[in-house]
Order: sequence, then C-alpha cells, then structure tokens
Amino acid sequence: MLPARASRRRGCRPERPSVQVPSFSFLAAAVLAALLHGLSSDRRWRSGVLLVLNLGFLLTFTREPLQLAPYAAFLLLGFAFVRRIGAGAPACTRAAFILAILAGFFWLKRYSFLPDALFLPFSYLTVGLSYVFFRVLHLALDAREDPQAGRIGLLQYLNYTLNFTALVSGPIQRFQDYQRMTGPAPAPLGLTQLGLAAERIVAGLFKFTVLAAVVQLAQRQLAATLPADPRQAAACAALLTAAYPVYLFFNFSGYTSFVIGVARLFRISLPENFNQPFRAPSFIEYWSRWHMSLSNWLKAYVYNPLLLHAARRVRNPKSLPYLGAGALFVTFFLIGVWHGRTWNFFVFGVLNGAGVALNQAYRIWLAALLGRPAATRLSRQPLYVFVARGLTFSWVAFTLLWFWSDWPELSRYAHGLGAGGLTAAAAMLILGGCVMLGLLQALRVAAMRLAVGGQPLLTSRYVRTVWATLMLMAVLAVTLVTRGGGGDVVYKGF
Amino acid sequence: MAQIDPSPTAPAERLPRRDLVILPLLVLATILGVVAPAEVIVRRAYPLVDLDACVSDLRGPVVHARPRCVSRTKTAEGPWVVNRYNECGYRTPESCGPKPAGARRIAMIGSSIAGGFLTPYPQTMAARTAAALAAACGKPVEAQNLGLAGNNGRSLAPSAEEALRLEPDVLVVTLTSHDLSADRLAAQRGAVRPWTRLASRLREAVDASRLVYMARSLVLADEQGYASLVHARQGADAAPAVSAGDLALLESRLAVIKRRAAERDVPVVLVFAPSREELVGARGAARWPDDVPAAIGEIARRQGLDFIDPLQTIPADVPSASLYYVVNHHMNGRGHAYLAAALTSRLRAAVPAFSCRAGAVARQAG
Repeated sequence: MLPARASRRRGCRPERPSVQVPSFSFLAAAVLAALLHGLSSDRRWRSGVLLVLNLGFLLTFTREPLQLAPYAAFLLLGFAFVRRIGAGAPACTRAAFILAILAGFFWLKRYSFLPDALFLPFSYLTVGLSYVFFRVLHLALDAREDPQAGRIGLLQYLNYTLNFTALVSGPIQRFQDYQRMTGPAPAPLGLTQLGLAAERIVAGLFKFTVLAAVVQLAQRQLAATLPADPRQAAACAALLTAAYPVYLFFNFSGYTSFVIGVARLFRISLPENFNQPFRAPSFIEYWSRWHMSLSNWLKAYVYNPLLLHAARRVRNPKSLPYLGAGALFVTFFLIGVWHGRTWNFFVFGVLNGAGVALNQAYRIWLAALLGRPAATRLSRQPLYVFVARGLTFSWVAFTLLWFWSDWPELSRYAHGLGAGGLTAAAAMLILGGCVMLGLLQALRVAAMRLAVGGQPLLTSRYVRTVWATLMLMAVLAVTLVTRGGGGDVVYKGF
Repeated sequence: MAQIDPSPTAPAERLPRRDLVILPLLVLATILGVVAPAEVIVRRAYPLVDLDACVSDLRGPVVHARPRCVSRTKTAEGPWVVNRYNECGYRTPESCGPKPAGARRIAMIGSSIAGGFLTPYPQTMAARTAAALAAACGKPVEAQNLGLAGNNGRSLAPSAEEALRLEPDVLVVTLTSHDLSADRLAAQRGAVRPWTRLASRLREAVDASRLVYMARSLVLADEQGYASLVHARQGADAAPAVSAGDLALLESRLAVIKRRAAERDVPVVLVFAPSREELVGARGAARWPDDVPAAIGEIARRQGLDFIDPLQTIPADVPSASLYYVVNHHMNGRGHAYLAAALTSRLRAAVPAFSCRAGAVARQAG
C-alpha cells in the first residue's frame, strides 16, 4: 500500500489519508451504502451498488492511473485465464495460466527471491493484493470442475475479487459461498440480524481499538526497556514474547469481526477467521482455529492434493501418516512464507511447517506407543490439555518472534539475556502460558455456568446489549484519547 | 432468559416486541450508568472557574475589577490562576498612581486577551513585555493593564481615555477578531427566534458537561484534525466573521484614540491577537474570505498607527494547540510569549522611551 503522507509543509493542505478499516468513517460510509443497497431487491441493482462500492473503495487508496495499472492488469489477466480454463483449455495451458497467476503475484509483491531488476520501477497499489490473489487462484483452480466459476461474468468477478468488506485483509471467501449470498437467496437481514451485525462490529472495534492498542503499548514499552537485572530481563523477555500473539489476535480478529458485521449489512456472510485459537491443545489444532479462511484454503488447494498425489504413489500404507506430516510441513511452510517477502518470513514458514509436522509425528508415535484409544484418552486429560495448551501457545509466540522482530534485534536480546536468561525466559513463557490460559479457561467455564432459567447469563441478549454498549463507549473514549490514531491491521501488509 | 444464537448465519429468531423497548432502554441506562459517575470524577479532577469574582459590574462604559481584589480562575485544561488587581482595578502589581521617577510605563487596553485571562500573571503579554524591556533597558518598566473581558467594541475609546490619564510612554491596544464584532453579536443575541433560543439552550446544557468539555479538549488538541476542520471551513463559502461595518466602526474608534493620544504625545501600538483558527488558517494555502489582520493593518496604516501582526512571527512548526486553551480558545502562557516577543521588539524599535542603548542590553546579558 502506498503510505498516506502525514507531514505537512507550511502553505500546503494535508493530504487526505485512505480510509482505515476498521474505523468509524468506514462504518458510516458502509451504513449509507447498505441503505442504498437495500433500496431494491433487484440483483442487478445490488450488484451495481456493490461494484461502485468495491471500485470506489479501491480508488480511495490511489487515483493515479499508473499506480492502479498493475493491479488492474493482474485482475483482468486473471479473469481472462479463468474464462479460458472454464471454456475447456487443455491441461498444459491450464497449468501455464495458474503458474502465470502465481508468478504475477510474486512479481507484483516484489518477493525477495526475485531479482530487483525485474520489478516495475515505480510505486503502485498492492493493498489487499494477497487476498485478491487467493480468490483469483481459487477461481482458476475451480474453473474446470465448477461451471459456475468457469463462466463467471466480469461484474461478478470484480465484485467477488474486490469485495470491499474483505479487500484489505480478508477473510478469504469461497466463490461458491459468495455467489450464494449475492444470488437469489441472500442471507436474511431482519432486526435480529442487524442487532447481531452491530454486536460484531462493536466487538471488532473494541478488540481492535482498545484491547490491541493496550497490549501493543505494553509490548512496545517492554521492548524499549529490557532491564539489566537477569531475572527481571528473563521475565520481561517472556512477557514480550507472549504479548505479540495476543496483540496480533486482538488486531486481526478485531478487524475480522468488524468486517463480518459490515458485510452482514449487505446480506453477505463472510467466513469466520478465528475460533478461540489459544484454547488449542496442539499446533495442528491451533492452525484450524487461527486465520481459518487461509488455512482452509491451503488445506483444500495444497494439503489435500499433495497428500492425494503422494498416497497414489506410495505402496506401504504405514508410511501414509508420515506423508501427511510432510504435506502438512509444505502447507504450513507456504502459509508462513505467504506472510512476507523477506527471509524473516522464510524462517517463520519453516518453524510453522516444522511445528505441524512434528506435532503430527508425535501423534503417530503416541498412537503407536499407547494405542489409538489410549492416546485419545490421554489427550483429553485436563492436566495434559493444561500443559499442551501452554506449549502450543509458547511455540506460536516463538514463531511470531520473526513476525515483529528481525535477526539483529533478536540476537541483541539473546546476547543481553545469555544462555541462562534465555532458558529462564523460555521456562517462564511455557509456565506462564499454561497457567494464564488455564485460568482463562477456568474463568470462561465458571462464567458460562452463571445461568438463569437454565440458560447461560452471558449469552442473554440483555447482558450482551449492556456489554456491547460498554464496549462501544470504551472504543469512543480510546478513539478520543488516542485522537483516532490507532494502529493499522497487521495483516494489511501481507 | 432471552437468548440469541451468536452465529450470524443461524436461523433468525424473532425479537419479542417488548425487546424493542427494553433493549434501547438498556443502552440508555448503561450510558447513563457510566456517564454520570464519569462526569462527577471529571468535575473533581478538572475544576473550572471561568468567571472572575473580582469583575462583577459590567454596566459602565469600561469594565473594571474591584480595587485591590484577588480572585482565582481556572479553565479545565489549564492551571489555577491568581488574579490580583491594584487600587484602580487593573491587573498590575504596581500602583496606578503617578509614574515613579525614572520608570517607564506601558498602558495596555483591550479585552480578555490583553488582560491575560486564565494565564498566570508573569506569563501574560503585559508582564512579559515589561520584564523584557526592564531587563533590556536596565530601568523599571511597569505595565498598567486595563485589559479585561468585555473591554472591547464601544469600551475601547473610553478605556484608552482612562489609560492615557496614567501618563504612559506608550499605549498598547490589543485586538482580536471577536472584539471587532462583539457589539454587533451582542445586539443580535437579543433578537433570536424561539427555536434558535431552544437550540442554544440545549447546546449550553451539553457544553456544561465537563465530560464533553474534556472530550472536546482531546479532539481539539489533535493538530492535524483541527487543521482539516479549519481548512474545510476556509474552503467553504462561509459568511465573514467580521463585517465591513465592524471594520468601519473600528476605524472610527481608532481615529479617536489616535487623536487623544497625539494630544498627549503618546505613541499608539496596535497588536492583533490571532485566534487559533486564524493561526491555523494562515498556515493553510487558502486565504480567509475575511482576512482580518490584513484589514486591521490597512486601517492602522491609514490612521498612522504602528501595527503588529504576530501571525508573521509564530513559527509554522509550533503546534497551534500548544499556544491556546483548546476548548476555551484563550491564549495560554506560551501564546502570550509570542505576542510579548513581537511587542517588545516593536517597542524597542519604534518607541523612543524603550529604544535602549546597546550597552544597557549588554550589561543585562552579562
């Protein structure tokens, strides 16, 4: 994305920054647009309104034709490929098209493994390109088997790939689901749904504006002041490492919740991206709860085909589970490297791939050692879950070190802590993770036990209304205090 | 217990009719439950006393504080300020009696900005100017400050008359755009329509909330956001805040002041005190539809008066929010420092009584 220039010289008016998501200005514009969208139930009207909105939103990031040109070329070439595949292109042409989409994406995103000389010599728009890429690739991969994807019209293609509610940072919706929502049977939009949408919007704003901001502030202060005392430094390093996944969760899940709520105003149900990821007692399960739309996409288009392909070539059925571990490694390595173009994200990808592959290998070993039923029983033991949850969280936090930091900074921290300090920090991180997540889980269970008439009090719409109002007031207060200068969605940069 | 499935794609449950009343009431009750205690806390944390207890009689041609009176004022976003008035009711520690031998005297007139309203006395333009000139010249310099809220418009000429009786070495007239239109706006206020009156009462009720006040102070402290607002207003075809009639009236009043001062051989210096909006507006690309400082400068030139426009001397990188009480709109001590610097420099350059020799300055510096 092109950064909005904030500085101002004497005699110059400030430049208008692009619309931030989530924000009240985005919400106000979306509500007005939703009113317009709801004026008629005619599909052409609604598609037209969505197209204007989607293109209009994209144009808020730049209005320079040259800066838009690569984006437009990628989209239009993608459309041509999808249509050509849908019309029955031969297998080699299909493969060439898919490779061209991949190559176009890596080239436009300036991945560091490509030589600099290949890149365009000017700055251009790339906001949301990663998410557009997944949608285009998904259409190209499905076009042969799914006639609806293969015969997609330009209007529907643009509305699907540029869906303004999910442009900036997803979630990645399957075309078939999107088409159903914008087709003859859109999601209902009554008073109840409006209330639920408002609740999601407020909850998203609260997570993004209040909780993420508080955790980020704490993390920054910890990063800036690593104490000299070795014990304090180890505790500080453990906290610093633990804070980032929490921040990232509030930041990204806040954004996701907000856009899911906004999309509901347009009768579109976006897929969920999070399902209490820190409750996961294993790294594999963690990835089925975190950024779910991305991991599901990769499972469908990388993991499953890879495993199927390998299974067809393997004669010994005992090696199949290990092949699964290999396919998991490739899939989650790709998830890691997708996040960024530098070596940091390569390391992140290796750690993620290694995490899921080792997790799978451990499962196989445990099942072989105890037998599958006993291994399953063990994995449900409260103490086992208590420890496994803390370990999973610690591994997540460890892999994310390469997300927010880099080698020079990490080596500076490591040098400052020494071997003993690092061991102490790791122990504190694991122990703290186990205890904190265990406590949170216990609190959640206790809170859900508070019931009136057999129904948990926390799920009452009266309690939720009060809670949503309190969250909204907190958001307004923090927006005022921080002068609306909250951070951006971390995933916008990927 | 009323339940709703949290999943947005779940089959819709019909909302009972009673909930159409209960849910909005719950929202209101929650807001009140949070806002009321917050208002109490904010009132205790940020007290506000913006009426000067020493200034009670506003009926005369010139507003005076009660002689030898002491009061305390405070804007919510500023410090407590002690106001001490001398035997004439001027905000000056020195007596208003005959000028002491060897001393220099500045007489300052104008409204609240001239009086340094809500600003600690040593930080006011009058005190800073007197101190700087005394330091530069090595002689006592006192500033008899007749400035008080309300001494604008028709009070200007009688106030100048009173100031000239103090035998000053210079008469400093401080003006704001608001001073120019004060009389007209006061007259209009009496003729508002009932619905306008109701709207203004509602607005006053909201303004009375300290929570709203502090929220505004946070919003207005945002330099870029405030600049955007000002530039949007500049771009709009807004009615000018100061009319041609206001300017004509000012010219006639300044002509009287100039004549009276000339009779006593007292030079007159006109200082324009910009509002924050004018300062930010002047930093923008567009010109105001009514360029008040330029118009006053033109009047001063025609009347042969020295004119100071501090807009030209405040550096562009100084945040405007640091110079004003952002909600109250009055200049704070840092804002007064810029006014004082411009005034000191002009008095030393243009008024013989303050044109000190280089030696005196060097002695002070040493």
